[in-house]
Amino acid sequence: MVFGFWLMSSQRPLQVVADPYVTACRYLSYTVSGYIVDSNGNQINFNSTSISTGYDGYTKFWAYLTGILRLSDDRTAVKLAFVVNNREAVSFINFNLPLKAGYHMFVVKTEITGQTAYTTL
Amino acid sequence: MSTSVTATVARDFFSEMSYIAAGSITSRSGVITINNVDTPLVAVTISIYYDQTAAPPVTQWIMGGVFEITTANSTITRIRFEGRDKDGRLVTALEVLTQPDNPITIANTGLYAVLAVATLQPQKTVTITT
Repeated sequence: MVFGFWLMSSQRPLQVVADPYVTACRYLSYTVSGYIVDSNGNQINFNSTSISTGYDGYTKFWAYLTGILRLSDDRTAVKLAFVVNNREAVSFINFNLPLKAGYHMFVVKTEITGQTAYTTL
Repeated sequence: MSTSVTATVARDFFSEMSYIAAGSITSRSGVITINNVDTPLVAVTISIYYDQTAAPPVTQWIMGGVFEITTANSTITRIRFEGRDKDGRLVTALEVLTQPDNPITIANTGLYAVLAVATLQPQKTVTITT
């Protein structure tokens, strides 16, 4: 996060002790689902999803999003998305990921630290 | 053996959740500590700017308020904004402290305004490892 503060057109070094993004995320309760889109444009929903959130008591917040996918035949994923509170909240495009028939588990960790946000998959 | 592909981040969790949470705000308040005394800000505004033309979208929390300085050379050491829902639950907050040896000093009396903008700039790509 980039924080700007203006008072009389002068900027000061300040310590952030309450982050608006972190506070907002703590306010919400979550429902989650997810899906992939294959190279033929088919949407395949995850069979099971979960979300787990954490907070360090200060300005750091993180969420783990997990999705389990069952494929009956080989596919190539070109989009992966999690829908949180009925909104596409985390999604990835512009890739080609070959997936064999069977079960696959996807785990996304997204974290905000007060200055920066990271997402890993 | 693991393989990795690079993907574009189309949506970012914190941007989207901020957008959802902002819709619940029904009341706004602010406090500013002047000469070690907490003073309510007036005309407090809290809004969110959501830019869908960016990929992933960029959100900004924008918070502002007005306060009066009645004593010359007053010092400011803390500013806090809050947004709450219809039931009084805290939706979002922004609080900043000045560094202990560097308070904000206002030389002249009068009305002043404070504007704070918190911008999240999500990462553009992510590596998928299998």
